[in-house]
Amino acid sequence: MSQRGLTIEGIDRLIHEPARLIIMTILNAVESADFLYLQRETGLTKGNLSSHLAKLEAEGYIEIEKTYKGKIPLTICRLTEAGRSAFGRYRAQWKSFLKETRK
Amino acid sequence: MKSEIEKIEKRPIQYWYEDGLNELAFGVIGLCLGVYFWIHTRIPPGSAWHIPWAIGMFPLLFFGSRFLNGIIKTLKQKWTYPRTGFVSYRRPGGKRIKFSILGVFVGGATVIAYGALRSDVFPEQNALTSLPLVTGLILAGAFIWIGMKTGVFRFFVTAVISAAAGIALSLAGFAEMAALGTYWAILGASHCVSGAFVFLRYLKRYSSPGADLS
Repeated sequence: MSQRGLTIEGIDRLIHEPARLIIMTILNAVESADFLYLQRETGLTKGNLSSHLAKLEAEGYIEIEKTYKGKIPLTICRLTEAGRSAFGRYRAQWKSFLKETRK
Repeated sequence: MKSEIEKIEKRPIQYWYEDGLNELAFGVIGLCLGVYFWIHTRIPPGSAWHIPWAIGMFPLLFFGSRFLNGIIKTLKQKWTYPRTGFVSYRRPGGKRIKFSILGVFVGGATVIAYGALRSDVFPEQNALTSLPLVTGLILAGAFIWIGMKTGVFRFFVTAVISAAAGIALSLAGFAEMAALGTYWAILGASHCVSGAFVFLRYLKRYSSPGADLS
């Protein structure tokens, strides 16, 4: 991640990907959200969203709870503590990078 | 980038207002308050019912809000979540609760202080005739704050309605509680209309429930 000689050291590339950044930003603002809501907000296909969620879950950034509401599957996603602090770090790094580029 | 993140962070808050059910509930509360103040005007002067009726407003508001909150949750589960998804919101932190309590306290204290000083401000009018003005302006400020926080434009419209109704009713010189009752009836009715319109538009836009086939 280099731009005009500037670097973002240690940027979390898992979060930096645009679709996952939207997912993390939404989940950071709420307690939990279901798959349908995330799909609507991100505009991703079911397969794409599932794949991004799986990556975030594998890293321990989110928890996924699969249940049923009646006969309809219900997938609830929420940030873990690790995910929340990783997102906080990412924001701080990005903010400081933007500050540097404005100098 | 920062503003983009902030925009995305606002989306879940905007989502809470997307179906109009909250406005409908607030409208019902407003109409109930209108009826409450109207009944107050019917209590004969010097009646022993004045004090218990005035005190009764607080439990009425508290339990009424809780009851309506339960109804909103049930309606959202039935109409909103199957269509556009479920979101559970984070409980407000201690700082936010303190600010909310402070805001309610300052707002209430301003109304009471204004009520106490009203005879100096409007010596020719009855004591309570200026309360719709203060209530209208305070609530207009609150609606503007919510509008800025959520980015939902219609809150600015309700702010204008609140301020306009407060000013108009104060200038009209209605008596005592009747002005306050009319103010709440106007605010309640406008919220009911706005909420119903938004809810119908929402149902039209999302006519069939979405399925979680993850």
